[in-house]
Amino acid sequence: MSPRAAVRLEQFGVERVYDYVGGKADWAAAGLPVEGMLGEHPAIRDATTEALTCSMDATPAEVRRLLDAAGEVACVVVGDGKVVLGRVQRDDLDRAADDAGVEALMEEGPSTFRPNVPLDEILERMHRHGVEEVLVTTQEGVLLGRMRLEDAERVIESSAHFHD
Amino acid sequence: MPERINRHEVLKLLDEGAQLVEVLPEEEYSLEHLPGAVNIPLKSLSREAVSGLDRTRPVVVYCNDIV
Repeated sequence: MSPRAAVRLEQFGVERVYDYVGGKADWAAAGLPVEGMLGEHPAIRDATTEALTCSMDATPAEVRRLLDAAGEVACVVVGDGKVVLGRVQRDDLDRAADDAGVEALMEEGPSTFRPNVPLDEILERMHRHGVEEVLVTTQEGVLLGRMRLEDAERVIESSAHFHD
Repeated sequence: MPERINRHEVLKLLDEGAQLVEVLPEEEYSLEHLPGAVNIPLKSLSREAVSGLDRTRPVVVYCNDIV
């Protein structure tokens, strides 16, 4: 996207235009500060990773291929604007007929948290309910990522060491 | 042709007063963006949309990553 945008800005008469090739991912990976919803909650951001997604009209075979390629066992079903609709598990896909729709197979209403919930509170609830992974979404249900138990524990632990 | 730059060069340009423009959709911008960046989604990029930029200062555009 940014190369096209940079060329268009030049066409619009902006003289000194630069294309930051590494983008947001590079900036965040360098540990540089960010603004925005995730930027306000760095612990949540550090514990959240990208979730595999598919659309409601994906077939079981397509989702199985996605899962195999990514080495994952679950996929988040999203609608327009990445609004979470549900989650589908590999086991359910394996048992399904190829003409079964993802909608019929998915678990509706997976556990979700907003990024403003303290990480230790999320972790406590995950332990209490025996949940290995939760989804992080905005108030409107837009998917931000997934949080695995191991990642939440890692961030809490490294934060505790930092304050020692 | 716009120059492709890395993070270190971005930081140098910011010291010179460069303006940051994120060209991803608004939802992505609101989740996370570089400090001080304005959002002009690629689909909305027009002469009018960029009229607010200061032409005397360098402009650095970015999206998610190299893809």
